[in-house]
Amino acid sequence: MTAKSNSVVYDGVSKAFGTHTVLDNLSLELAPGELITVLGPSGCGKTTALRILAGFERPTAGRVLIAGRDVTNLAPNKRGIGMVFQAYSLFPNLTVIDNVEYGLRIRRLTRTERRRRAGELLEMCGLAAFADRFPHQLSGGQQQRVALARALAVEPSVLLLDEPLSALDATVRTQIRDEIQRLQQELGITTMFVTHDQAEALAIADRVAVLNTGVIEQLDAPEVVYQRPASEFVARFVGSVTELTIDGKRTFIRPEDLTLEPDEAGEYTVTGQSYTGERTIIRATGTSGAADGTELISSAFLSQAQALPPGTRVSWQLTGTPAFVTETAAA
Amino acid sequence: MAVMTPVPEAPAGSRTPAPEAPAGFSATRALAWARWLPVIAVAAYVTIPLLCSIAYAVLPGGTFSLDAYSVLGSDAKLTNAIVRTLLITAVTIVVLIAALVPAVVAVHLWAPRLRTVLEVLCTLPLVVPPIALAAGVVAMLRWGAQQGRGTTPNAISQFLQSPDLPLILVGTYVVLCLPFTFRSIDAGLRTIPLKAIVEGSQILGAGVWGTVWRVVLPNMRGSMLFSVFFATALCFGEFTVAATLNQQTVPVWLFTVSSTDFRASIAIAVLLNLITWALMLIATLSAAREARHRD
Amino acid sequence: MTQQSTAALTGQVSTAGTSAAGGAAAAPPSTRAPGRAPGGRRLASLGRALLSPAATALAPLGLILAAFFILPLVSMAILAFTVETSRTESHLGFGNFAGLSSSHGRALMNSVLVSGVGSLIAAIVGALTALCIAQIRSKRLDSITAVFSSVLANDGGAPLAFSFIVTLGNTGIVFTALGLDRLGFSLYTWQGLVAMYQAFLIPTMIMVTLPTFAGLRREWSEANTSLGGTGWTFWRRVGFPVAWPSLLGGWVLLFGSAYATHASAAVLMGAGGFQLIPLNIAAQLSSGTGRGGEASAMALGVSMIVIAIATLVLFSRLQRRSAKWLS
Repeated sequence: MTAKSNSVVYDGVSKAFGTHTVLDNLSLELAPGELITVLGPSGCGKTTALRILAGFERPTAGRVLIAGRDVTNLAPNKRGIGMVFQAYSLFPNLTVIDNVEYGLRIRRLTRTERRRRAGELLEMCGLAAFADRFPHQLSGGQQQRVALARALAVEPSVLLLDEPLSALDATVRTQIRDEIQRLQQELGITTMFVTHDQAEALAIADRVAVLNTGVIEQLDAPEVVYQRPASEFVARFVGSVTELTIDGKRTFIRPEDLTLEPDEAGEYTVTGQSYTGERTIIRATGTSGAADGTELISSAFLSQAQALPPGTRVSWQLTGTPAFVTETAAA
Repeated sequence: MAVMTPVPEAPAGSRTPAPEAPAGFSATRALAWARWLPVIAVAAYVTIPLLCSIAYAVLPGGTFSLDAYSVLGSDAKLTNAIVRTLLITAVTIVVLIAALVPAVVAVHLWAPRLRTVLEVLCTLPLVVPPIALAAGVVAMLRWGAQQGRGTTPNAISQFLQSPDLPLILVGTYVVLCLPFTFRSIDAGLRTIPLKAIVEGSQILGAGVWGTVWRVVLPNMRGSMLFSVFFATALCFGEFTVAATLNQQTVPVWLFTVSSTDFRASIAIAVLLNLITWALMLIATLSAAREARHRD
Repeated sequence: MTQQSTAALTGQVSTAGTSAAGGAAAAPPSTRAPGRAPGGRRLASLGRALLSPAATALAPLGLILAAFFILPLVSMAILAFTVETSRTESHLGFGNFAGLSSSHGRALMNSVLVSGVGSLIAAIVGALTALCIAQIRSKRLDSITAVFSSVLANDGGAPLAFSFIVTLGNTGIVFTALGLDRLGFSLYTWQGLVAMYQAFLIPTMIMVTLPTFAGLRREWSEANTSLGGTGWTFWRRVGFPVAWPSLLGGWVLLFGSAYATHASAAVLMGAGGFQLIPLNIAAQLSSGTGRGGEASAMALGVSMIVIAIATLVLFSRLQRRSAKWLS
């Protein structure tokens, strides 16, 4: 299996449905072989951006280029893209192997060549044993693997994934996510992955594009997006954050940068702990004075956390750099 | 695609391949309009006969006139047929509701496993063509009559065919209504927590049927209304069984009078057609509205 | 015994068993087994059901079904299968069916012709219309279609025939306007029946196939497109293969529905003596005081039920095949 590594360019793409603007002058570049996740809440325009690249939507303004070629007006079936949908996209009347062969059949490959390629892909996706099953005989995770194999079979110029994991349950989700990442790296295929799940987006991406109401708020490597969010929206949407007013400015602090200490005179009370493995998340709520109602989220090692059972009065300390501080003073 | 941006209208390329170039874009738009053609054609095909009938009934010789409807007051046979049909309808509705509702409530409450049996039994009449059922009814009644004067089967056979209130039609119509009304009432009951309501009411000291009467029935008004309207539409539209048994209901009168006063029969047929459609429409809507309320 | 005391007796109030306790309230106390599981044992619950007020509640409906449905059909079957050899002697057999094809051959041919052609046209037109409605993707149109098609599908009665006589009869408004007599069309032939039956067959087909077309997922067509396929590829490889069992099932259902239609055909054809199975049954019933006519009417009736059952079984099987893919 080989895959083409193509660049993808969104050049000032806008899309409006009637008077409702979904994408506003979006510019984005995917380097050959790069995996970019487009992250945003529902209704932010991320699916529209993906469907414009696929050719299912036509931009109201701007251009889309694949490998330097303008494809804005190219029919979707001529673009050579591979697409994985949210769920239920497998052809129900075809077996797994026939689904994977579908695109190859359209490309008029010989039967033996088709079988060989489809078999290879099923092998890669760990589905060789299911070749003759029908989609409704597979679990949701298996179905998405077949969908991935089907999309990759035609050696697409770009791989588009539209919330491919959102219909799966948590354990399968991580499993398939890792598999997508492995295949993408092995094949070196340029990939755009649309999701509303920030953990998923950060885990898999080379770069993350955070989209809000049709505009890219930030485009950076996952760790940068997490540690140095470019806006209030990104700080809130990606990861957990504590919002405090320090020196009259709204300050957003990641749990790792906030330490809680037992303090009889503290304005905060621990409300709960959740153990997540290496670190424990501790939540506290302000119970008096100016802090009343403010939520603190801190992460600590288990040993430290054990000293802070729920009900403990605490005060906080900034032990790292705040993720984001507003330029202007808070209202 | 739950997270898709709200799309006011599905743009080109939802089912059909998107066009190659902008020139093709207007072609898909034309296709979008072409999709309405069969819809409009079918709608026309089913409404034009009705419009023609209306025109024929109220526009004799090109001028508007309701003369054809004077038969409503002048023909005693029609009056009799209407009264008879109304009577049949009323009794059919009462018997249908009184027999079906307790049965469905009972299987829901106490014998969920019998529900399937009841469903099959109630759906079976759908399988039997009305003319075949009519033949069966004739066979049954003739067998009764053949037992000779004075015998019980003979008396029952005579009683069922009484021209004033032909109970045989009532019974047959209840049977013909069952497939549709069972489904509606069953669906209506399935959406309300019947067991919880009855149990809760029992704790407060109410009897089962008291609870059903006071709490359950008001909760399934939609499916009851459906049954009432459906039964009415059926009683006023049914021709096969009534004609075979020689019972003068409104549709049978229509057929008889059409050979002597065709315009009158058309006039009444239009009325009947509109009423039947309206009743079925109300029936379907009331059942649908209830279903929506439950969501 | 009141419901309250029963509930108190069994000591179960809010568990699933309570309803059974309530149900057994009017039955002898011995039928109540305390502490039964909600699922119940099959036999035990059946026995309880027979003794409980459930039986009383089911009795009226059972009686009606027995008297006005089962008994007529049984009577019909007995007459149909009783072959009279002489005035006093008879035996059970298929004798009454043997002569049907010769004495009612013309009617059978007409019935098959009308139902076959009528259902085929309606299936094609109805499926096409349903496809268009599904593609228009308007929620309002969908619900309007659902309501109207179910209303019209049940509309094969006498008024339908009258409206068609006025429209397409020999002096009908549309008939004269279009000059259909020059085409040799007449409403009072099998072609007329085909034309009239469309009025309820097409809505039936739309009603049956609209869910199928609406169930074809957008993802399938988009997956096809992204893999390089055209609209034609999609329909040939996915759309049609998924929909065809439902389409075929719809056609079978229409055939059965057309074959069984009596009222509108009877009104349209009147006493014209047009040969059609349902009309022949009716004619034999009204004139056939002689045993021979009656027996063959009953045999025809039985044959109609057999055909109706066959079409419905076929229909539901085909529907299920499509449904498996569309769920």
